[in-house]
Amino acid sequence: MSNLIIETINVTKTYNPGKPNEAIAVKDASLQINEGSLVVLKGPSGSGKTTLLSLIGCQAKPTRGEVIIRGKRISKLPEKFMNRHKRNHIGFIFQHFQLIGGMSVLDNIVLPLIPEGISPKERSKRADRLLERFDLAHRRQFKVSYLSGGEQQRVAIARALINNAGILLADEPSAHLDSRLTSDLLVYINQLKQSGQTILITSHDPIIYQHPAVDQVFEMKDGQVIS
Amino acid sequence: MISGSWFERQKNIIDYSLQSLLRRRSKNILILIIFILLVFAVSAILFITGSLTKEMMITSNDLPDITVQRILGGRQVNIPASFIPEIEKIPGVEAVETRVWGYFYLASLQANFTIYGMDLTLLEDGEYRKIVNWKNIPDQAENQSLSSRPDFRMIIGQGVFELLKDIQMEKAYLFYQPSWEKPIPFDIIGTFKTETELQSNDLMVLQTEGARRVLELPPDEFTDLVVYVPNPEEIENIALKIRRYFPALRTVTRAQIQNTYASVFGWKSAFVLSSLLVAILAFLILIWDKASGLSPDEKREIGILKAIGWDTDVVLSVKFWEGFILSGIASLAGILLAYAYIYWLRAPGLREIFIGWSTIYPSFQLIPDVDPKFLLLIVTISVVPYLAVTVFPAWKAAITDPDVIMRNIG
Repeated sequence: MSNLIIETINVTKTYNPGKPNEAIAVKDASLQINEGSLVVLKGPSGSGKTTLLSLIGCQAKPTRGEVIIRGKRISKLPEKFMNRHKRNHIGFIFQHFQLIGGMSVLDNIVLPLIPEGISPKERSKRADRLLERFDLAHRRQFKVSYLSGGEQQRVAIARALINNAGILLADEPSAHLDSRLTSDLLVYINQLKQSGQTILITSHDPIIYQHPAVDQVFEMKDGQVIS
Repeated sequence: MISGSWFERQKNIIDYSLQSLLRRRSKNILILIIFILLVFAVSAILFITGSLTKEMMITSNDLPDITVQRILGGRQVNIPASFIPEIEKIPGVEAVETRVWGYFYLASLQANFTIYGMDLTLLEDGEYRKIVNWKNIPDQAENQSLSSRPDFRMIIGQGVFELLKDIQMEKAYLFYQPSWEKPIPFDIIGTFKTETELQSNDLMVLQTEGARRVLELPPDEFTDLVVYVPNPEEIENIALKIRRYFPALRTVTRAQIQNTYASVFGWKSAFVLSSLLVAILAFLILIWDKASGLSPDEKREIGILKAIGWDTDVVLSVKFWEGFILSGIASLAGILLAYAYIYWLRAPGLREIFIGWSTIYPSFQLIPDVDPKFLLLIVTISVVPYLAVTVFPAWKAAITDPDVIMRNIG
């Protein structure tokens, strides 16, 4: 029997509550994800996929409802504990990669380890393993702004994996990739799934959500999970 | 995840702050330059004020305890010798000495000089001998030997000496008034050493009788009197008694002179600072603008750091160290530059504002005197506000959900 690793219960997120520009991005969203599975949240732009992923990834707190990760109700945790939970359990790949342009590939990848007080030597050792794995070793000292879209994508994946988190969240990972790079991405994602990683991806790209490795697809519309 | 030690964590944060400063080097170099100029300007003024006040305090320790002047019609006039025995009778007075001094305008140099009359033989002996560069001047004055006209000798300050050299005046035939039959020649027997320049630069010390001739002072009259009181606690009391017994006399104590010096330099310092106020204000606004407004890139970076799990306090630590390193370097560099400017280069440009009214400005060495209170003040007015303007906007960004910053919602 599979273990439940992510659960949302009637999660609602309202931006700018009470203001003229109030917007309900997610409404009463509930879903359950098992450990080691590859899950896709699909839906058109503005359906609330990214917001729900952000709530699961501790990037924001829900206005209402519960987000439970590995049995812990993270939405009620104070910021410090929520961040610790995030660092220990969640790796996040952002839609626009969100890398720091003036920094090298290596420095971007090890960023999550800096507040942990891990020595530069140990950081380098961990990063080198990922650089090899994602074929980036030759770009180690390059500034990320000089890399191609596919390489930046791999740097973002490496950064998400540097803290050995069991959950990988990816927001529209193929949005800025051509079909060849998307296929490469799927190869990496499949490898990660094989290594036991739980993966949740938002996408409206059929190449992603129709991929045979995908275990489960949730569809969102107007902020609600409809299937 | 295995966490490292607190020390390693702080080291990582400082490393990251340095990297971050270097990544935005053009903006930070601009802030650094402006900041250094600002600290330099304020430090230079505070240093010169402190140094001059201290030097004046030290040198004024040799001033008489009480100076007594006669006032008539609201202005100082010569004081008759008849006052001397009367003042000497006041209990607590050790000695009363006479002084002959005044100013002489030299038309050829278009400058005023201070003339002081004293018995120059007193300078030839003991401690005071060391403050004069003694010269052996051959006898030139109307075939008279130096010793045969001892009343017409003088010792001059370095500033006077330089001026005389410029006009190639070997012999000082300087003293002449249209009402006189002929000039009064004086032999220069020495110059005051540079250490005394603050006081002696435009000074001509003449043998008393010669000074009387130049200043046209009648016999048995003096410019003023000086009173020595062995007990410092009694000085104010005795000054009060002199004023009470002799309403025509005015007293000036050493403490009053010292206070005047301090307030004159304080006033000048305030004046220069006020003059610079507009520039300082403009600098501050520029620094505030550059430092406080987080650029979209910086906001995004904070959002990314928060999104990958950095705590708000870690983000603020990074910003704190960035501000501290930059403002610390600027303060240190500004203070060191000001130190070099004031004490090594002798404050060109600023010195003239602070020193004297004379046409001859002293070229004395300023004594280094850095009051820790000044340093604390400079650090307080530079580092602390800068930290505030850098950390506060970062805090505002750091407490916002990373999701909101990165997606620019709200």
